[in-house]
Order: sequence, then structure tokens, then C-alpha cells
Amino acid sequence: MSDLLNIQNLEISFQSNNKNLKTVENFSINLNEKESLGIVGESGSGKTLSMLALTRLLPKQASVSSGSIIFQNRNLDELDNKNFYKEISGKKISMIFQEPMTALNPVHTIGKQLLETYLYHNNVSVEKGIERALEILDAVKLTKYKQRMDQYPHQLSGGQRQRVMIALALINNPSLLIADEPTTALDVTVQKEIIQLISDLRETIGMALIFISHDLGVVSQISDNVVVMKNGEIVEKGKTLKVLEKPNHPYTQGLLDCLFKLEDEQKKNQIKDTPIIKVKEISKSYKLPAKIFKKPEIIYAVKKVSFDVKFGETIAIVGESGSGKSTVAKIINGLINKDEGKVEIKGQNIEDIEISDRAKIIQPVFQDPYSTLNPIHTIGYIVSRPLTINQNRSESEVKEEVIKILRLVGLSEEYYNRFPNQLSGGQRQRVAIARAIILKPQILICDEPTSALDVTIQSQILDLLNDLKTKLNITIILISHDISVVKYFSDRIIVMYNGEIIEMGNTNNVINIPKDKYTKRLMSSVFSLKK
Amino acid sequence: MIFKTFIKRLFPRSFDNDIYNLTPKDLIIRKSSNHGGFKFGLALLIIIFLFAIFGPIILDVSPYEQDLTKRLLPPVWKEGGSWEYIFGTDGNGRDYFARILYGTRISLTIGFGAACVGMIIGVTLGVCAGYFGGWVDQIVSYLLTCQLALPGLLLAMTIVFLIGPSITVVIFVIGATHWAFFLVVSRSATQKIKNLDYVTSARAIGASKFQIIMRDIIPNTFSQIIVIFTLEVGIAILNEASLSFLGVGIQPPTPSWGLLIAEGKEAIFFQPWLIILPGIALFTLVVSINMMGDGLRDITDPNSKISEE
Repeated sequence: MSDLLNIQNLEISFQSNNKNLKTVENFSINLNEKESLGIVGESGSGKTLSMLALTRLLPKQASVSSGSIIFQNRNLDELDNKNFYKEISGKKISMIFQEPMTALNPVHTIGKQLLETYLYHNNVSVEKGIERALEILDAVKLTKYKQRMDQYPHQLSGGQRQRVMIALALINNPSLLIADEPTTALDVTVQKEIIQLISDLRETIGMALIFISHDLGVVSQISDNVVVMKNGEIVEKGKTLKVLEKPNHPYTQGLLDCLFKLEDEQKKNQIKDTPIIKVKEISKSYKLPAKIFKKPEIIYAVKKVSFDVKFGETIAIVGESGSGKSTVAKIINGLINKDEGKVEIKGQNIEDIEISDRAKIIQPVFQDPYSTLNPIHTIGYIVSRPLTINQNRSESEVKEEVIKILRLVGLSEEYYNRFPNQLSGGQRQRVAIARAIILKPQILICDEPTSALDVTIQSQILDLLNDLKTKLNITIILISHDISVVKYFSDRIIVMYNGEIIEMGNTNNVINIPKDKYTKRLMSSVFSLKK
Repeated sequence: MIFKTFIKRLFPRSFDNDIYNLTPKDLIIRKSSNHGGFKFGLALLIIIFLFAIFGPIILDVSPYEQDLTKRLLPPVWKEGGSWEYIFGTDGNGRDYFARILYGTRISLTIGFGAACVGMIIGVTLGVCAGYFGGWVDQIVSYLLTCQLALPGLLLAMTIVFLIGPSITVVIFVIGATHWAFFLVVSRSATQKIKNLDYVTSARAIGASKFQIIMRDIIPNTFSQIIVIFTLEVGIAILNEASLSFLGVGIQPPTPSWGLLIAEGKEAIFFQPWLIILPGIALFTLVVSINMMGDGLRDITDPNSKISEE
């Protein structure tokens, strides 16, 4: 096999006024033809930047300051932009991006976008182009592909759009495909199909693949070699199996530990038999705006959902986006009014509980660490607010209590006067947890508390929650789409699909012997490390 | 350069090399010290303010004292001008420099007063419409449509004519006809903010609607409102000039820039400085406020770059 791509000592720097910030240093990779390479690292590690440098899509402030890129025995640095876009980009090297919702132009049909790419690089008739477009849409297994040509992007689902993106990337038969987290924005079940598709297409077309991901599980499935990046540098590279089996660098070791830890057993709470929350047949629907001469359409977000949660139990609600799991959580928290049904907390109707009392029983933790804290208040103010609103206590007492809670979630006293923009994502999530537990609630509703965080931070936050759970004896309702997190964390699982509960039971039972068809699909979509 | 060294000495913390150590306030100070347009506008505005406040106190001049023997004297740089009357005199023999100086007070009072009135009306309605939605939003949107459909200047003229002109009336009338921008901006900002997690969590910890609006929503719309505010100050000053020019604004002999222009129009061919001088003053004030407003928009925009210097 001959060398397809050889990058030597690539260095990318950001120009910011007078200073040069090096974001990627000493980036060297070697890729043979038909080989697949995975690049792993957390956000900000430079994995995407280095690939953008290869396709000359770097943001304006960034530039390649040194290094050489040799592709098919041609030094790409010697090509000017015009020739590069004509001969290499989109023809020999194609790229798939993370966000399928914004990657397609909404005002043009799928067919037009495919044709544009094909005809720009190939001097053929429109009929030939259409023929090729249909062929590639068939190859990416888009259902009803013949009709899709005249459809617009908004008529397709996220998974279908990503298939179109793949078709767009492959229409010119590239020798190298770069996939930048192509499945991160998709639901888990769709994720598996897309990865399978990319892996199949690679073999039939015979192209090389560079797969960028933060998920070691996914990378282990698809790539022969792997590169681990941290802070703009490659810390480890080698055969995927070897690296996973015997990681040399402590960072890789840490990444792997995070994955394996999720397979360990966890501390359990004392579970009492009496239920703390009773949910009975709750429903919530939304009316779409009425059109003239038509009845207003009603969409059910939650349809007749009922379950109990026992004292001290950790219960997980899983399902894909739009399955109604977050709506259920908000109804239990009293943040949304339900249409029908009953929610009882400690035997009392949720509507009958005073808001200040409810705040002391049940508290939420949200997904997005960036919107969960008000940017204009200090951490001290944010965490102390539940106390000042609900209790009459002196200022010094409140401050003492806040610092105690901050310590409990692993933040030191010096964070008291800081502002949210000075904190990292993981630290913000700790503050959000501190705010939720300062009133000593008995129930915590965690809505995807870790899915916006990097893997290493994710496991720290899970550890923290786990620790607090036993220390404070909290009942937790965990909402997640990540089965490995759920498996690690919960006693029972509720699976939701289209607003209904389709399966409920002990964690081990549901994961190992799923009964429902959808649950089976969901469980099989988990990527464990290939060994 | 001097300005920057001064700021650096005043707020050493804002120029910490480690950006993560900066509080939002530090960031604003740092960004504003690097924004040329903002510095220029702010400096000009401060000078105008100082003139308006201290000028009449320090300089012993009267805008009302008439001396009919010294009618329509030219300014000092024209032939026949003298240092006694720097900007010359008007048709009644009053010191034109003093009239423009006193007019600054009127224009600034009306500009900032009217913008405040407009802001209070607009932001209150906008935040309510955005936060509560539903029928509140519909009513407010209807009010907005009415407001936008009415010709502002004609309406203001009618009201001032009916009530009778005075500074207070002019301020309130201009304010009451200029809240549409405030409403639109604060409404859409509120709609965006109310769905963020920190508002939801404020509800979960038992904060009342009033607390949420005052503590979480309004402070976060502030950066957008302040930009509209500076814009409206300029518009209000121009509006007062139009009203005074048409004779329903500030009444003579009180000096206001608009009124000076109106009075000068008869002499436009032979004594053009009577219009040009208050015109320049008006232009300078509005430009300085707009430059400052543009700067504030850049500075308070969280996506704008932090300068390394």
C-alpha cells in the first residue's frame, strides 16, 4: 500500500491582535490508501482544526504557520487556492460535518445541491449528473431516494439529512473522507446506522477515512489506527486495538478508565418500599396554530404516563429526543402544567404544594452548563439565592452555608465572588448542582446532566452525583439518552417513545433482556469497546 | 494613549493577562478602553455635559438680556465681529453664545428625559409581552401596531397644542411617542431569555415572577436596551428641534437649539450663522451620542473579541 496522506509537523496558530496563539503543534500523521484513522480528544484539543487546515477551511484568524501536507505525492502547499478547490477539495478530499440541520442549504432541493457539486468537478451533461446523483442516493440507503431529489432539506429528518451529506461528500468518489463527529447530533439509534453506513461505503468505494470523535467506543468500531489529541498535541498514536489494550499515555489511560468505570458496580441507596412520587396517567399536548378551515392539530408530548418512584431510588428515563422525557420531568417538578392525570409527591398533589415548600422537596439540574447560570450574577449569589428567597437568615450564616455547599461539590471558597464566564463547563455544572442541593431537597431531577460535557469531566460529575446521592440520601430521576450512564447510575429504567412508556423495569433486566422492539434497538446501539 | 494609561492605572485588574480572571465588569472596561469610536463619542459627550452644567455658572453671560443697538452682530471670525460676542448676537441683540450654551441644557434634558420616559414605557410593555405571552402579548402587539401607524410628529404636535407647551410636556409627549424600539427589542430578548435554564431553575427555587423579571430578565436585556437608549436620545433631541421649529415645542424666550434655528430662518441669507451655529451644536451632540451607542453595542456584545492589549 502506498502513502495517501502525509502530514508533517503541522502547526496552526491563531492571530489575535499582536499575539500568536499556537493551537495545534507537532501534528504529524501518515495515512495509507484505504486505511481508516480515528482522531480522539476532547473539545478544544485541536482535532477539528487540524483537519480544517487540510481542507483549507480554517477560520480567518487561524493560519498554518509551519509543516507540510503531502497528498498523493503532491505537496499541497505549492497549490494555489484556485487549483486546490478545483482539483482536491470536494473531489479527492471530502468532509462531513457534525450538524446535519445546518449543513444543507434550505432554499435548494437535494437534487440541485448534489448536481452542483458533481457538475463543478466533472465536465458531463446534466442527465449524466442526475444519473450519478440517484446512484449515490441509493448507495447511502436513503429511502424513496427517487423522490428525494425534488425535496428540500426541511422535509427530511436529521438522520436522512446526514445521509444526504454523506452522498454529497461521496458523489465525486473521493480518495479520502473526513468525518467530523458525524453522529454526535443524532439520536443513538440513528447513530449506529450512520456509522455502519460509513464503514460499509468505505469498503465498497475503497477510500481512506479520517474519523473525528470524542467517543472512544465509536472510534474503536470504525478505525484501524487511532490518534489521541490533547491541548493541540498528539499524545498517543498507533493501532486502535493496541492503544486501547495498552495505553502508554496517562491521558489515554484516563479516557479509558472513564469508559470502564461505567461498567463497574456503584454504591446503592437504602430504598424504602413506600413511593415518594406517584405519577398517574399524566398527559400533555400542544396545539399547533390553527389554519383556516382546518381543525387545530394537537400533538401529544406525553400520553397517559404513570409510574411510581420509591424513597431513595434512582430511576432513569431514557428515549430519543422528542420522546417526551423532559416534559415528564418538568411536570413532576411543577414547571409545566399537565392537561390530565395526577402527580403526588409524598402523598400531596403537586398543585397543592406551596411553591416554597416544593422548592425544598424537589430540584432540577439541567443539561446545558452555559445557560444554567445567569451570566450577570456571582457564583455566591446564584448559590445563595434559594436560601434568601425561602428562608430568613442572616447574611453571614448564608455565606457560611454557601461555602459549605461549594466545598461539598468540590469547589473551593475562592469561587464565591467569581462569575459564570470564568468557569469551565464542568465547574458550572458543579455550581448548578450546588444550587439544587442547598435547600436539602429529597428529590433531584437531572435532565441529561452530563451530555454537554467532555468524557473525563462527565465521569467526575457522575461521581459527584453518586457521592451526593448516598451522602444526602436523595432520590434521583435521571433523564438520559446515554445507556452506559444509565446502566452505571440507576436502579430502574423507564423507556419512553413518542410520549408513551413502552418498557419499565430493573436496570439489568431492561438492558440485558429488552422485551420491546424499540428497546432492543436502543440497547444494541450502545458502542462498547471492541476487543 | 494618555487616556488608556489613565484607565489602566484606575482599573489594573481589567488588564490582567489571564482573561479567565476577568469579571464581566472588568471585560467591559477593557473592551471600552480599546474602542476608538466609543472613546471619542464618550469624550465629546462629557465635554458637552460639562459645558451645559458649568458653562452658565462660570461665564457671566445672559441669554435673555437684550440690547437692541447691537442687533445681528456677526461672530468673532467674521468681519465686524468682536470678542465681546463670540458667536455674535441675534435679531433682538441677545448674546448668541449664551443662548446656545443655555440651549445645551434644554436639549440634553429633553433628550435624556424623553428617552427615559420612552424606555420605561417600552421596556415595561416589552418585558410583560415577552414573559407572559398569550393575550398580554396580543394586546401589546396591537398597541405597537397603533403606535407605528400614527404619524409621530403630527401626534406630538396635536398633544402639545392641546395641553400647552412646556419642557415637561414636551419631554413626556416625545417619550410617549417613542417607545416602539424599546418594546420590540426587550420583547424579543425576553422571549429568548425566559426559556433559558437559569430562569427555569429560578422558578424551581421558588422565585416569584417579579423577582425573575427584575433579577434575571431585565439585567440581561440591558446591553441591548442601552443601545436603543442612546439612539433614542439623538432622535428625541432632533424631535424637540422639529417641534420647536414648528412653534409647538419650547416657547421663546427660552433658548433651545430647535427654536434658535426656527428664529434664525428669516435671516438665512444674510446672517447664516444664526442657523449654522445651533445646527453644528445639534449635529455634534447627536453624532457623539450615536458613536457612543454604537460603541456600547460592540462592547456589551458577548461575542465581540477581547483585545489582547
